[in-house]
Amino acid sequence: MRRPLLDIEGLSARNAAGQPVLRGVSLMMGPGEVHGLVGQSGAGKTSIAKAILGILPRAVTLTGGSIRFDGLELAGADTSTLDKLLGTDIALIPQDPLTALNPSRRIGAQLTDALRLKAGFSKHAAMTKAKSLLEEVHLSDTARILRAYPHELSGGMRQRVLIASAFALNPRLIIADEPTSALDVTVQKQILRLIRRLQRDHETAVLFVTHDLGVVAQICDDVTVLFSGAVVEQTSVHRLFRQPLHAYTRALIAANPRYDQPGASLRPISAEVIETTLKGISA
Amino acid sequence: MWYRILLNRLILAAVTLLGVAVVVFVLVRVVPGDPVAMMIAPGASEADIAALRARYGLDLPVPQQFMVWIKGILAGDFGTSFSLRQGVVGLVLGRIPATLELAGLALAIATALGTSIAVAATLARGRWLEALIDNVNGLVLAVPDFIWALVFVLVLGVLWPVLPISGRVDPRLNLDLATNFYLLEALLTGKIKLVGHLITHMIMPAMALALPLAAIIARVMKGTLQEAMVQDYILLARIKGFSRLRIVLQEAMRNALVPVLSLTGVQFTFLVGGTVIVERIFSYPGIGNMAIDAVINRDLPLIQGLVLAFAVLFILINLAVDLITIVLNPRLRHG
Repeated sequence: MRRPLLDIEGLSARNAAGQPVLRGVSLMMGPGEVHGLVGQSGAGKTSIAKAILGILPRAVTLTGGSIRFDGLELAGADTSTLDKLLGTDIALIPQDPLTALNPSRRIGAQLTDALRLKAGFSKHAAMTKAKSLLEEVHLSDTARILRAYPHELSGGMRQRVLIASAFALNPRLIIADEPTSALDVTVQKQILRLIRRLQRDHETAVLFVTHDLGVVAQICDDVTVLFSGAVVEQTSVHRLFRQPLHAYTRALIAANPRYDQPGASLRPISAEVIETTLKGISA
Repeated sequence: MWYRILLNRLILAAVTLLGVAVVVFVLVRVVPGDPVAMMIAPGASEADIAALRARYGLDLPVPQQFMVWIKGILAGDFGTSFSLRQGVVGLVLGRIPATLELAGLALAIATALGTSIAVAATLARGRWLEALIDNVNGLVLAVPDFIWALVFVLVLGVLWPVLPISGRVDPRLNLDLATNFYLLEALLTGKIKLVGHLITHMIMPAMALALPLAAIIARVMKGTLQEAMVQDYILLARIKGFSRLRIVLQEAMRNALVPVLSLTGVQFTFLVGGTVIVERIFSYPGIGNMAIDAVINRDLPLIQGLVLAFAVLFILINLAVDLITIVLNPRLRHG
């Protein structure tokens, strides 16, 4: 691997009650790679994403480990260091497009403010750039959309706007926090394909947070499986589905609904698997 | 859609004003105190009193008096003041600018002060400064406007006399103005020295009126700002690397403003009501001060005219609040 773009090592965190949220998570991503972060809710996927972005809730504190972005330490970094990176080098595609846009500002304003503030675009240049960004995410009638308020657009359109916004300054790393889970299935596919294509065109690394292994199979190169804040398996997507090593991973795969096999029954993850996995972690 | 709202409001305003007219008309006639007794010299004969009563139409039954009054209003005549012997319309219109300017200045101070405090408290979230702001704010909130007025008079007018404590302008000053909107006209014509002079007279009553409103605005806006600050779009703005101040002002403020605005509208009508006593304390020549004189003199036509003027003012304030709310909230525009 080339010099890693994102290098997380032994990251640990606790919540206010002293319970571990992350237990020594290590993860490495090269430039332009798509890395899936999977696990059930509460497994720590989002905590990792928030730790990178420096937006962990007050109740959660990092207790150890490091997050290096292109060699720069982000864990415990001050706001000014983060502010310089965020928006320009690291961007986020949020989970819920319905709440991630400001309801009282026009799309154009929300799409251009980072261009103007972080990259020094003039007002006119930023609008032109915003137009081309919207075209890049396959939105037509760009003039109308730039003038529109969020409530005038559909969920899928809003997610495209947010994707355009994330790619606006050509960041090196995008964190996609379950970007399709709030959308319906047909739109999900289009959005995934769009992220994949943009990611290739811009050679952007994407850390893809999801609980959906189907999504991982479609878009990711590598994958980290988390359970209760610990890494249980880390491998290429190809290997993950062909020969999952860990019992928990196997159970997770079996529990995943397959749209290509209608009628097939789903197997819930058994208590036994969970218990042995938990034991393995605490050991 | 704008004209539909306006038409709706116009009809509602007419009904409201009629209601106010009936209530005030009946009220001033029911409460004790005979206007004629105030006008006439002691020891006048019964015949003199009856003649005077008849001259002002006070001998007619109340419903008939009301009809006479309403007919006059529809013709643009609100009657003649008993005590000042002048037309009510001219008297009220001559005084309204003074009150509007005072209330407007107070509102501007309250908005600026309240907003700054709310933004500061939001930025200081979780630190000792936030607690300090909250406590001081609570203290200010508990003190009514006329107490502030007395405190200001005592401190800045008497103990450390730096500000004039009475009137709108120095009576020796030769004003060369075309309207009674002294402050506005001085501002528009660039008479900076006069603006300064007017402000020194207005600042104490305006501050007294503004402080309670500022505290209310600060408290409510802090709440709505903090509600807005946990929204996803705020988080996303932080992830775009924007500064905290920019996020508060650009992303949160506008969404936090709508509830604050409707409350400020209601509270501003209280502020206008507060001008009555505060204008009295500072001998400020507005309609509030005039209203107290009118009540003391049992000047029925003037009282009625002033109450209607206050009612029109309140209706206009509420209309303005509604229109601004629509401008601020794009989701209401296509309703």
